[in-house]
Amino acid sequence: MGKTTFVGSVSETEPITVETTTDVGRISLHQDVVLYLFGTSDPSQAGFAGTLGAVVLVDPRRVEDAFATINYFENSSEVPFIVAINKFDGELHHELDELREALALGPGVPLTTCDARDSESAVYTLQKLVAHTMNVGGSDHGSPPEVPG
Amino acid sequence: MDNILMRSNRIRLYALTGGRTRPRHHLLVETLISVPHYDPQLSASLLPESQALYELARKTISMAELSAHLTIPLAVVRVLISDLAARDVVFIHPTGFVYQYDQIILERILDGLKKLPV
Repeated sequence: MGKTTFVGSVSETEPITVETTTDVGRISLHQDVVLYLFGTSDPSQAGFAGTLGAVVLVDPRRVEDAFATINYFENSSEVPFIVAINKFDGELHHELDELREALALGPGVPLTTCDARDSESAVYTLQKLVAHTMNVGGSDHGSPPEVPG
Repeated sequence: MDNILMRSNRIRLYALTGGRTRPRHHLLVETLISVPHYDPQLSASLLPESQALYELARKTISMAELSAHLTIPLAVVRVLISDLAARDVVFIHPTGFVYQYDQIILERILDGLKKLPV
């Protein structure tokens, strides 16, 4: 929910759509580093094995719609992910703890809020994702990298 | 929308790939492609679709963008890029998986995100 909006908020190019379900955007971060964003409603079909991480956008009015996606990332994927409640109407009607419980999120999965229409909020969400990837990176592969601090 | 035209275009594109739909390389929508050493003569010798891909990849570009810019189905782009890669004229970048555990590149991404003018 809100994936097209989210990608559109942060992409420096007009998001493009491939194979009907994927929105693609890009952000040039340094001269030699470009971050690509892919919005999809079915990550299991998208095959994003190579991604740095995933943001699961949740509509707070229909949390159950996110179950399949969260199950996929928890059980069938190595991709680090965070969950972001999309506050499209600017308000959150539940406490985050309640939402964490409703989503049956494991304690290791960061839960945050964002407004997909707001580029600052979307970028901040991406920062949280990268920080999470840095924290979990390599933990399932026998050689966890040193995390400073 | 002209369905007949679309269909014939599609048939032509698949004919272009020799009916092959299975590329020899693992190419995802996010896989990045670039041309390491641009050769105008080589470019001129390519079929129009491959030439268009080769020209676009002079600046590093994703499979998704190649497909969208040229309105060529991703499956066809995969086969054509795979052929170009087999001739060593395009480079298929390793996917982010390689970088997923690279703290230095992640730091740089985080740093870049923090400096974005939003």
